[in-house]
Amino acid sequence: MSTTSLRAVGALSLASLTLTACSQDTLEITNPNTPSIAGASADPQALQLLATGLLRQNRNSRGGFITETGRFGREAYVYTPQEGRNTSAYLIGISGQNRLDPAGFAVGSWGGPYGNLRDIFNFKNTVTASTLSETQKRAALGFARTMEAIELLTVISTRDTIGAVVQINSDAAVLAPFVSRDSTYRYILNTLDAAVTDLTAGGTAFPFALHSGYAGFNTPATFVRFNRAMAARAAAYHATSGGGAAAWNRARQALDASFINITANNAAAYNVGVFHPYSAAPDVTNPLAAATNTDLYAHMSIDADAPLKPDGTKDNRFLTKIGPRPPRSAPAGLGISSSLGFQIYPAINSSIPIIRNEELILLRAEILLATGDKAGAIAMINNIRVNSGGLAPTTLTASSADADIITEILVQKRYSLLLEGHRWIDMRRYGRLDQLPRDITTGVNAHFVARVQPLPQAECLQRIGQTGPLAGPGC
Amino acid sequence: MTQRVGTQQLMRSLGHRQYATLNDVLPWVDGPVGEAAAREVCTPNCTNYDWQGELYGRTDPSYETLLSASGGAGNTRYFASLNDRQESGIMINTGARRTGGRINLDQTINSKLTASMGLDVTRNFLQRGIGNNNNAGVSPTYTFGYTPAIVNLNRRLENGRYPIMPFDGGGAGTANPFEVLRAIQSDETVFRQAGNLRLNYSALSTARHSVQITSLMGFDRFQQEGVQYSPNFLQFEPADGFLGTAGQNNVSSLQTNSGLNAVWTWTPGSSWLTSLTTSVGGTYERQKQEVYRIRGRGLLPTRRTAAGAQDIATEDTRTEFRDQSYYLNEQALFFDEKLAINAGFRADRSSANGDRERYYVFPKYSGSYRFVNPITDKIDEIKLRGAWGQSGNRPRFGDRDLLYADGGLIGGQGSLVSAGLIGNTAIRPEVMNELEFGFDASFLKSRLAFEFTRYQRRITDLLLTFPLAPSSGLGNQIINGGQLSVLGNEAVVSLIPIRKGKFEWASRIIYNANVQYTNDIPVPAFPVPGSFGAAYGRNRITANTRSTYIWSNAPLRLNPTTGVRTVADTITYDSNPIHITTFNNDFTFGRFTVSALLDWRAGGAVSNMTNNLWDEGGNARDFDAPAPARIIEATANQPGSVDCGTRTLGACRAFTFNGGDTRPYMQNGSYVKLREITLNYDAPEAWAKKVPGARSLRFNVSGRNLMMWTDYWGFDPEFNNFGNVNFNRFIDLAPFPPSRQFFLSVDLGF
Repeated sequence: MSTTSLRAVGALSLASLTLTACSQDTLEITNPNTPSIAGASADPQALQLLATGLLRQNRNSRGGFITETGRFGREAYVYTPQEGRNTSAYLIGISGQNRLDPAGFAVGSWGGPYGNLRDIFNFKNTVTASTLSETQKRAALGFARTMEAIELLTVISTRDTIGAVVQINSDAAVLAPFVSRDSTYRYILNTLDAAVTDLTAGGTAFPFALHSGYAGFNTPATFVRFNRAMAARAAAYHATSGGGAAAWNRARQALDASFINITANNAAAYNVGVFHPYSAAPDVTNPLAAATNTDLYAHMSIDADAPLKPDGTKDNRFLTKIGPRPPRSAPAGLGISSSLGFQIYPAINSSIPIIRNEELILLRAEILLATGDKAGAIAMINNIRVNSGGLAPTTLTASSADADIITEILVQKRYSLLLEGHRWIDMRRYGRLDQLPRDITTGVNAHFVARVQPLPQAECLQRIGQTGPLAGPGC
Repeated sequence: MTQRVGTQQLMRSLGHRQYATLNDVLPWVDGPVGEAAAREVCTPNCTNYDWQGELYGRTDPSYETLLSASGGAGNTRYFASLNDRQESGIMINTGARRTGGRINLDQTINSKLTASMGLDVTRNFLQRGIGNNNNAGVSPTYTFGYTPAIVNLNRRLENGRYPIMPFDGGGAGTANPFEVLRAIQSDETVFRQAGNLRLNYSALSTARHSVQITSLMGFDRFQQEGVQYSPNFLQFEPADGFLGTAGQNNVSSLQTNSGLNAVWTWTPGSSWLTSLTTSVGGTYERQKQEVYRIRGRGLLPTRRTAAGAQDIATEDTRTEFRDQSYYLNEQALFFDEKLAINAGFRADRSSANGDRERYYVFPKYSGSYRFVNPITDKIDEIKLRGAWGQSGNRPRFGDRDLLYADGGLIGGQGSLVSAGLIGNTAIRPEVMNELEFGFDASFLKSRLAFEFTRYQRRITDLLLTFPLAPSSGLGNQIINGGQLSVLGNEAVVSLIPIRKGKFEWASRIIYNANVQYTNDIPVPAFPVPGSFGAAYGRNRITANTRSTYIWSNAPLRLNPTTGVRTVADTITYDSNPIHITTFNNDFTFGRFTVSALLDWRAGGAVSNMTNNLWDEGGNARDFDAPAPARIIEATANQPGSVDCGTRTLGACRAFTFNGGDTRPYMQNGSYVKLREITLNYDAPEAWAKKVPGARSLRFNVSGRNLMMWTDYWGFDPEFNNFGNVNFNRFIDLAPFPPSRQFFLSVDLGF
């Protein structure tokens, strides 16, 4: 090789060496935007932050659950002037076919609850592997199991006969099977019972703090009473979904161990319960707040159907919960116009109930009626009629037909629990969806009442080609 | 020195439904406020206004001034330029201004060492107005679709305000665009500085060998400042419960790079080996970007900053990449440069990869052979060529990280929740495999030339962010897997049909056609995220299927037992055009040159949701036109849509759509566009000399976007709501309309 070639090779080698000098660690950078799992898990705050995450996620789907079930149950409209599908996707569905579009709008209360169920799954694993004392672990697990049941109750109350997925796999890419409605309710109730066992062994305090919406229910012993209230609701739902007498008995036992106060006679006593708190940014504002949600309207039938007090004026619940709004209609003739809105959540920091005493009294009316104590049921109804509605006691008696008493309970639930996510579910539980008003009954825009919310298309697409419990029912 | 003056106008209007009388408009006033307004102006005959013409009717002049100079002395050369362009927009209160300067210096230090540096500084100010999707009544094209144009909105009232928009509810869900555009501020300013320094060392230079070593360093920094302000009094302001909105969106970015490379050329003087060139080098690059935003809602009157607002939201995100690469390339020329063979590889590593230390190696090869004057000397040359190569596309920032998500606050406490996206610690670059071959042929001393290329681009180890079943509780997971491919042909014909005396006509036609496939994916099929629901159409990633197909709702699913078809989310159209052909013609006659550029796109469906909005609101220009028996006629492949009955055209389109059939709005996006005509006159030197010191003078008149021939209903079938993205780029949703521009320019050389 000539000297010139050697010099050339030398120059090339020099060039390579210079570059190699760039050391490897210059490529090491950390992500500054979001906490890493490894880093945050080792932080002493981690358990508190994860526990708060479960409460926060539980709140996330609440507003959507209420506005969706509110529309199905003809309590509410969401009249966005330039988006007709906020009406048509709920009240008309795919027109002429009386079904909701799985790739459309009305597929909420699925991804949200499962997002929290994933975190609950992780939380349980974290707690089990942690250095907490055995007592603390039991308290934390009791809390997590209660949250798990609450999320699943949201799912099954909107999917009903479709059933639900109750299992979270550690590998998220592995599909979990669907189970029936009955199995789902049994799983929910058993999980709530297991939570009580844990909470009872959970000492005097949780190893983390619960937010102000749990005031009065923030120790393992008091949290059990919240757990039992949820169990009473779940068991009553199960009872009307094939669970029968056994489920009613279970509901009764749960209710008796809950925070129910049947002597309540004023708003403060009715409002004892557990709530989702809201607040201004950086927290989240109440999505249903009258101050900010100007698209949310009340169904006019709430006015027409409002019971009258002895003096001929309308039910106190109607008067306090409903107020006038500038009239608005659905775009493009998709619905009737409304001039009523809700005052239930007046401000951006108004709380939304998860469960409260007024519901428990009405649940007790349902349970007593179903277990043969009509007089007891009527007493519960009258408590609410007189104290919450300002109405005269009912004319129903212990000799009235069951169906009439159910009708009366449903009216009381409608006005007592307005815009709290009950009407549609209760009407379905008692087979009365056909009694919900349909604003347009003929033509291409004819309304129908959805029976269940469909599985989102995203769930169905994942299950194409699967069979048996892995297939998406109703896809 | 160049000075240009121009103007612009609305290229195409959507038109507006014309209402004759009060009774015609009453079904579309949407609420008591609108009804009162209609009763006031229609007595009973209505006046119809051209709202689009007024809102997008600005023809204010645009200017551009360009100064450039170059020169040098001794071992130093320079080039410098200054540029200032002021562009007016067709919409009220829109426009842009770009001011920039550039300087390049070349310095010869000694016979072996040269240095060059450049510096470029620009300021870009943009005031682009408002358009696209919006449900709050802010986007004019959206709002107009829901509002009959029977009132004069473009007039200032005595109190300084404009009339409220009475239709579409007449409340806080809508607004008068004439007031909105005058009252709001929506500006963006980008300051950019870029510079580079290059050192070149000629290590060896003999008859047979040459070795050049080059070191390169550069930086590119920009600071983007976006300012938004919407005053308290605007009609839509109460909608979110806060009066007045002010926002500041800033991005600051710095990119630096350095590289070193060496090139050794060996010219052995052999009869068969012409030359051998070896290149080797490497680079190191850093990119850092910080985005920070602040938005305040609920402002004191006239206050334009977020401070003290009732509701303040902030965002702060940093992304950073560090990349390192090496390359080696060998080029060999044989037989008097007739045969060329090239082989090389590139090795990359990046901070974005799961394994940051590992180099990923991407080879490439190419070869060509030229036949010079084969068969007859009428054939100048025929060249056969082929190439295959790989390159890597690094993962996105954060794809490799296992993260929690910030769950947000509740009751004053922060929280951690699972991230919706599961990162992958083994993520690696996706690989682009390009194979292309073709020929170039030139005839009759270059008066006629053909180029033909067939290409295949396959992306393997795809960076795939795929959705998990929602019941898993997680959103998406990132993996490397699957393959996408594009298969296409490109043909170019260049010819000079006429060359006679002072006249020459030169023509160039470029034809491009391709198809895009998802070949396989290792996960269940999924709609490409980032679009709307099935009602507006989406692309879907599903194996062995064209990735440009539009999947949307249509009553096409046949129940074989009942014979009834139900609505399903299925393939309705293909958004990919059959071909795009460009015709470029230059006519030269002495000192005059006329150039014309024509584009033809054949096929390619567009989801025209603008049409859908305007039908839903009852204001499409052809709403009242008689409808055919049905909007979509049955074909051999597809059943037709529902019968229109007594409905008019717009009513039937909306009726068909509401029945779960999106096909009326899946429209053919074919067009022929006259993109540009330029007339250029190179003035005689004698004219130029009238200006002291000048040596050359040219005049130029040009028009852009002059004409479009299409059956498409909307502004422009090329528009897409999501901008320049790979998928879901076929949705037209209330865009900002296109403009036609005219320029006159004078170019003076000294």
